[in-house]
Amino acid sequence: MTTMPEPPVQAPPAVGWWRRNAVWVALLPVALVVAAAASSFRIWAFWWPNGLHHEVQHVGAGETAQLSEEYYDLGLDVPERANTWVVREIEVAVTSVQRAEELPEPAYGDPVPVPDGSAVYLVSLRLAAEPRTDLSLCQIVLVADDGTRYGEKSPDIMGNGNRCSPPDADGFLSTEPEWSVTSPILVDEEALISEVRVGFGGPGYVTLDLP
Amino acid sequence: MRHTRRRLTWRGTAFLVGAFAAACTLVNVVPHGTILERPFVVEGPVGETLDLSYAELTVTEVRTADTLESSFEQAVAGGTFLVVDATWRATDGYIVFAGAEVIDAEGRSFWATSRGGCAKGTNSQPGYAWRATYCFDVPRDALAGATLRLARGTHGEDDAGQRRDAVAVVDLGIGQHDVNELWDATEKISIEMPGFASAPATDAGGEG
Amino acid sequence: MKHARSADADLVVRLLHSVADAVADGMSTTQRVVAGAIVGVFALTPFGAWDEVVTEPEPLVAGQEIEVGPFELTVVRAVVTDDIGFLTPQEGNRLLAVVVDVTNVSDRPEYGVLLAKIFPAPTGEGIAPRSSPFGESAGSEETTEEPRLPDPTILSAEDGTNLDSINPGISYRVALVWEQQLDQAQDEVTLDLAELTWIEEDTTFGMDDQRWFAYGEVLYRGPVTVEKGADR
Repeated sequence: MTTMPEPPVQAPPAVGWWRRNAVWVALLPVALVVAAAASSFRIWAFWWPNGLHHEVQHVGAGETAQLSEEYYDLGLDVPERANTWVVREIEVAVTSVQRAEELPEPAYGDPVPVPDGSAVYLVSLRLAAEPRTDLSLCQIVLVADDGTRYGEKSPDIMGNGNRCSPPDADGFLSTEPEWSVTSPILVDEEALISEVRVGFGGPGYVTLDLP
Repeated sequence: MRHTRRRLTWRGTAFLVGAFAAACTLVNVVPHGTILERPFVVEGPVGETLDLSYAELTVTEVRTADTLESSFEQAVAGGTFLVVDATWRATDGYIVFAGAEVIDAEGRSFWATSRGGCAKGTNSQPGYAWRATYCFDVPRDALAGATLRLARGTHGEDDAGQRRDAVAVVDLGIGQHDVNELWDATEKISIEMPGFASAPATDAGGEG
Repeated sequence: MKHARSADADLVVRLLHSVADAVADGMSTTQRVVAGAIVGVFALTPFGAWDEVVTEPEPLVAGQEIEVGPFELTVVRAVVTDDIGFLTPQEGNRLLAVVVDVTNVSDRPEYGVLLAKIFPAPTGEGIAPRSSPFGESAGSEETTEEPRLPDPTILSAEDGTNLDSINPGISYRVALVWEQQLDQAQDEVTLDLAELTWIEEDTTFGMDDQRWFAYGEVLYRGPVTVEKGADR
């Protein structure tokens, strides 16, 4: 870089910084998105699989919903399914949602009076699935018009850990092609219930409107 | 041909190094614990219902005991048991209340115990009020000015489970002059399992 | 071989000499000293220059207060019995309980099981391996390795309840309970107390800061007389 002959005087091309770096400027938002996604692994690793986050189907009052979802089977009930992804396909219909005066018998212990300010609803569902479908972690939820979710917990308030199985069921596998269940849910007295959700721990669930 | 070829310039290098250094300094200087990750503390006295957005909480009673009794075991305090009855009312959906600590006037933390049938944590849903009894084995010098810290997030290192989430801090109302009486109490308290609260949490405070 | 010298020395000595000369010639004094030290250390290899430094544990004396990690500890006695609290031994075993007075002298609460890190199961005393809830012991094939001895159950000696945590400033009389095979029972049990090290910032994969960790170094060792009976 010393004594070169002076190049012929030439006007610098009118290309600004933005223009010269156009590719990098365009890639910047992409890089930001990739960086954010890479540091948000907890969302899909922990949050997404735990809880009802994905509405598989939403049907009107009186209609039948199809819940079809893959889950990872640990083989607790069916050893040959151990450590495989299994598709759970279940048809759900709401047959009735009725208010009751008393809570049903708890799974263990003495009968419990209805707490002050609470109302008992009995949700009856008709379910259909291939026999030996895994029904564990079943959640039957009443959703109020303000979005409050009642009865998400499994086992339910009376300690029944098998909410989608018939009362006399032995284990978590379905035995009949079609069956009915009734689940008790405590709801705030003034709440207006608008829909029922059914899921199996998540992330998928189906929503059924109430009349 | 000055502008047709890209090259490393001193100015550009200095800019990059400077920006990197500035960013590192910023990350190190910003007090994460006290600003960015600080929980949203909702304070109140015993008897008042606190709104934590995910639940309403009412601390209904504070007692001390030397012995706790439940249907299956009896526990003797190393110091004295601070026994706190609390009522939870979840507002959105099913929720686990995992954090339970007593913080004394010096800032020391005391964990809840499950001895004597007490609750270290509990869970609840909308639709009913849920009562749980928490017990803390504390030394005499922790009593005066002690506060109760309950939340859905766990305690633990730097309250990592409570970052940017609501936390209830309840002044247990223990003054220096109450200490002798509370410490000398040799009572035995029967602990009940968590269960439906007999009265809704919102009425338990007797206020408003 | 620039500096090959007199012809009367034998070949090996000449070779070594010439190599040493060649290396040392280009060196400063400091470099020579450092190189000499390194060669010296290597020369001591057969005498254990690379062996880990072993600190002899201090004698453990029952009734004497010692400090380990966040705790002040006094080993009171060892007792054999048939049941403590909700614990009962399997057939052919009995319970060996080491009774220790424990005070948390730090300013933060600790889990009761931290005591299990200080008190590893005494070896050679017939401590029964813990029966796994899944039937036979986890690695069911016969291994040449000794099975890892179980951690003790941490109970309050006063009431037999499970000591889940120990708050700052609180003292308990604690029973550390193992199952012992009856035919291995002795009148004395030798206890090892492990040191706890404070991890302020965990740089390993777990990144679990601010906790006590036992690297396994024995801090105190000593025999404790075993008493018989349900006495706590």
